[in-house]
Amino acid sequence: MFACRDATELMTEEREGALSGWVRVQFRFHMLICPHCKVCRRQLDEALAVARELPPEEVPPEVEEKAVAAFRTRVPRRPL
Amino acid sequence: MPDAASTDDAELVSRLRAGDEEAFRGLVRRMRRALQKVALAFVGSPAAAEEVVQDTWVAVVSQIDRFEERSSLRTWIGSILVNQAKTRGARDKRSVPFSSLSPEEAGPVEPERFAASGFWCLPPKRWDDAPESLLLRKETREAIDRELERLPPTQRSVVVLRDLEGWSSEEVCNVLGVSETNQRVLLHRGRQRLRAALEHHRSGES
Repeated sequence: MFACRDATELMTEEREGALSGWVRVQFRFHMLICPHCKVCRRQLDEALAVARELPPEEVPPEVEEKAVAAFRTRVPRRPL
Repeated sequence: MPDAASTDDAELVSRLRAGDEEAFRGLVRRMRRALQKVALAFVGSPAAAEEVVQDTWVAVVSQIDRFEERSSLRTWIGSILVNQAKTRGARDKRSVPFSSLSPEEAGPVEPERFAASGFWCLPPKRWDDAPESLLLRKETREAIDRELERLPPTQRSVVVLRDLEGWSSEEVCNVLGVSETNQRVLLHRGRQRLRAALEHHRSGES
């Protein structure tokens, strides 16, 4: 029988369009009737929304300067 | 068919080939998180990952004239990084990640939260805040960021590329050399751990 554990394991597959046939039907039906799995899926979406807002990491200056130094020696400036 | 990304790529590549330093700096900054997190999945330490990223940029600048625009610039750079990281990982005698799913990557939701029947016995706790207010909260972001750092490196690199950097599953599979199925498994397990972190953070507060 299709249970909550199955639904929680398939939430990403469903978002990715990777479910088909009978499994998709069972998943969708389960999501209609199960309040806990609805909460679980909403939390999943909310966690990702927070993750997307995480600020990008800064490049340590010495790392950036090393990369730029390599760029200068290997790609000399020339007119576009 | 050229899309916006490939047009942007073409312009950026011609600026790089012309020696435009600001364009290069921008690229190094934009790709920072993606490269660092993927490198960490292959090598043992942040310091080793830093070296791999460094070597990647050296390789990128020396090969930029050979970039053929058959792939996007970021997947081309990502593939160079993975090659560098594999070489480094082999030298350090580390096993190749992504070749199989390791036992540390057990089921996405803690098994004890389900009864034997497979239905929830400890269902996720609800909270009433609107999602927008969650986004604004510094502590919430920190809780998610901490969990992201704690994820197994393979899960973390897939989540970072897909969810934080917006790569497509095809790009991720090509660069990391994983199947679609394994990519989805890693993504889902990583996402569920972020969800659990959010749940614990929120319920710990109330």
